Amino acid sequence: MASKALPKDKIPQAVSILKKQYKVIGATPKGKNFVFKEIEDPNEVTLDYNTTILPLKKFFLPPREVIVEFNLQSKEYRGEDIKVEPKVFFGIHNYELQAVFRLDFAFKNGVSDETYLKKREKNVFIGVSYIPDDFHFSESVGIPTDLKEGFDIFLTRYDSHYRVEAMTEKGREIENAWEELLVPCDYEGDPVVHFKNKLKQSVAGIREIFHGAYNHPIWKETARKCYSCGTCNLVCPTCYCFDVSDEVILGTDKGVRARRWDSCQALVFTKVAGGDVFREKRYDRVRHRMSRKFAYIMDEKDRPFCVGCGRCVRQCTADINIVDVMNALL
Amino acid sequence: MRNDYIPYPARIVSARDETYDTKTFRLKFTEPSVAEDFNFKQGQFLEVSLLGRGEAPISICSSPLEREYFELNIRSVGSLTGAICRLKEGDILYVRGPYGNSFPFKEVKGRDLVFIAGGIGLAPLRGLIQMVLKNKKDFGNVSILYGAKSPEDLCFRDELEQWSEVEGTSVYQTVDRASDGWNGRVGLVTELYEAAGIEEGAGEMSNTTAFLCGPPVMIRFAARKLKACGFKPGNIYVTLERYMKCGIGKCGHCNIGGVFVCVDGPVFSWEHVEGFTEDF
Repeated sequence: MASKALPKDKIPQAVSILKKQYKVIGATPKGKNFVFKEIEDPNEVTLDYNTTILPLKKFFLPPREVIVEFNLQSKEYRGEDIKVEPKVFFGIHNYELQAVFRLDFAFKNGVSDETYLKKREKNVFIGVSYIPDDFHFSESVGIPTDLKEGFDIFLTRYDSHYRVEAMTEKGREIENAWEELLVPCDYEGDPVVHFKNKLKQSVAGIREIFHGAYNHPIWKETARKCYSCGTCNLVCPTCYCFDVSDEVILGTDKGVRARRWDSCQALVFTKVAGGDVFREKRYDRVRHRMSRKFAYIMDEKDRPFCVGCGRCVRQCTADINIVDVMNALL
Repeated sequence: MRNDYIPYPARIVSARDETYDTKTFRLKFTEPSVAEDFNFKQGQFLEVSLLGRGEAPISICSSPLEREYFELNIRSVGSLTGAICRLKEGDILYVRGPYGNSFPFKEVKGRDLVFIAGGIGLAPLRGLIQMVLKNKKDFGNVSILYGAKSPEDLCFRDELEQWSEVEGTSVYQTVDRASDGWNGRVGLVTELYEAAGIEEGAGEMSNTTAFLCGPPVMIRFAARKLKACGFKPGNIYVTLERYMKCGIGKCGHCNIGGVFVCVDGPVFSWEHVEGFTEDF
């Protein structure tokens, strides 16, 4: 059976069709960078980007999220209603969706967190192939560019076309809705792509290496450069630690209890009432974050919580490179 | 939709001063159905809050055998606990939980028990102590070793006296700094070991289980010394403190190595703690 392809110039029309049924979220340019946002104008979406400033987690675990609303005067309070609208995430790189799956595992494992899981309902993912730049290292963490796990449709780029592969019932519905835009194509197979950025060894066995590396000098060396600014936590697609605190709206009796992204790099992260801080040294905190990514928490398939997007390297304020740190251990 | 972060109101039935900065609150849920469904085990904790002030994990300090109420021992150390300690009988506290695992109870029947507490570290042990002493015939000798900064910082003073009157139960107290009128011991809680028959070179303490709660530095010293005195690490239980923001293993604040204190703890055997990758 011949494949079908979406010509590059038909992308805005494809998005318009999706918008009839869904909220569409995709990558759009912002200055020299890209961001994921809800697409209003179908012409603003791009399938040709390296990576976005923030990952998809902002849609499922917002930077600040109200969990309880209350009134100090009436003492009434209630949980926030989460309205779920069908969403299509259009033009998503595979490591990005893998990161969402890691978050799903974290929020389902043990007690399930409905506040998160509710927002993962009615999501459709349309993937797109990408050319790794100097920062991506996903292949080293088990995510080669041709991994299409979990997508409803996958778009593989060939010159001016994207080959369309529907992989689920939802995906086939969308492919049918795009029917008039598609052209036959004889592109087969996946283009071979190479990563310049690599770990010295693949993820298998990394956990054991971590257990033996508790006192490795790399932690102190890295900590000497680190400012504990927490940027790595904010931009990481699998960092999900949060703080819970109350806010009262000035001059009113209304307030909310909200959860907010938090950073394990901050000194106060482990502070308790008696004044004890359990990770007082910066190298304790640097080691903790790396250990969370590669050793402390693995998903149900024993996959690490790093997906190799390279955001923490791109955006580090102190030029710390997680690949260099890891390679010092391996 | 279920929202695990929604608290339930509980009314303060009584508020008792333990020390100059610590109170014990007796509470009842305002909704009978919530009270009905509320079952906890010794050693578990609640997320306790005041609307507009925030939330903090606090261990339940009463016995789960008591179905009419539950108690919280709270020291005023910050904005939230300060506000809670200003509350009076009839006021409302908000709680959700219970969270975490529990101290063994049935499993330690027939054994001698040692409770070692520092400061308000007696609170998480108190429910278990009450359960044990209520069923004292099922247990061997019970020793309660309690240390505080000063005589003014000792909590549950009346109860310590009552406990010492139960047959086969001894209570030993010490303070870091004596004040006028204190005729008791001065020194670290580990200095009470000898009086309680815990000594180095006295052989294996194979029929004794120890329960520890207090500041991290105390736990470290007290547990290591127990080991030196013949306790097997598997017979030493500690409860670890972290500022859990969620109580359900998500927020990350209580992560030590691969464990989450809020779901895998707060009670750990020393054998387990010794195996932590990270220093606790």
